[in-house]
Amino acid sequence: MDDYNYAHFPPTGEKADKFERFYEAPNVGTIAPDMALEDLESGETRHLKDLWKSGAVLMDFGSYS
Amino acid sequence: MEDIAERYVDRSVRSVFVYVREAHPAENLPPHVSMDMKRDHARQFREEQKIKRPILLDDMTGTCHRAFGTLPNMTWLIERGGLILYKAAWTRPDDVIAALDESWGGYQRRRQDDLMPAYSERMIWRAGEDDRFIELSKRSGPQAIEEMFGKEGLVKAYGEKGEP
Repeated sequence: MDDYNYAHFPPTGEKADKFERFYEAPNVGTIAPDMALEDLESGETRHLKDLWKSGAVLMDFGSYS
Repeated sequence: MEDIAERYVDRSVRSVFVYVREAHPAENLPPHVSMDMKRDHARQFREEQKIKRPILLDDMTGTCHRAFGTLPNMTWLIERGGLILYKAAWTRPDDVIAALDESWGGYQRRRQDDLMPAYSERMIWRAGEDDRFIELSKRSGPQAIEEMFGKEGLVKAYGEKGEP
């Protein structure tokens, strides 16, 4: 993943319409990994485990492009 | 997804958008070379698309994105305490609603209705939406359209001249 922020679609070595990496991600029924992310609004670091401490979390991933 | 976020917020489901790498980098939305650029793209997205749910930025190497499968348009539903209830390789709002009703709803009712957990997987289908992609990608720039659909896409987007 050296070229994570690839300059041209499709990224080389990754198949955007295939699910291999998704299969390797944690399964339903297991505990999700805690990750640190930056809150765009406040600039503060948010930990996913703090978000799901008080209730469920619905996360969708994406970008503007 | 904004509508779903609003509909379920009263039922203690918190919605967030995780901003990752540009899926179709182009002239107006180039690949991120710094967190500042990533923040800037996310702000443009929030303001122009009127995104109300909180936006969380992944880091420059996609640590969170990779941990959850690296696909460009996933949805994950995680119950209190971190239990994964649903993972979708593509965000299809009606499928997300079905997951909220079944997977999350069942979890809430499990004691009163004497429910035991089970598990299923299935293929779902999404519309190709080529025309919609072309329309939306005008914002990103011609590169995004050309890399998906070649010269034909550019002509579709901008007419015979094939450029904006």
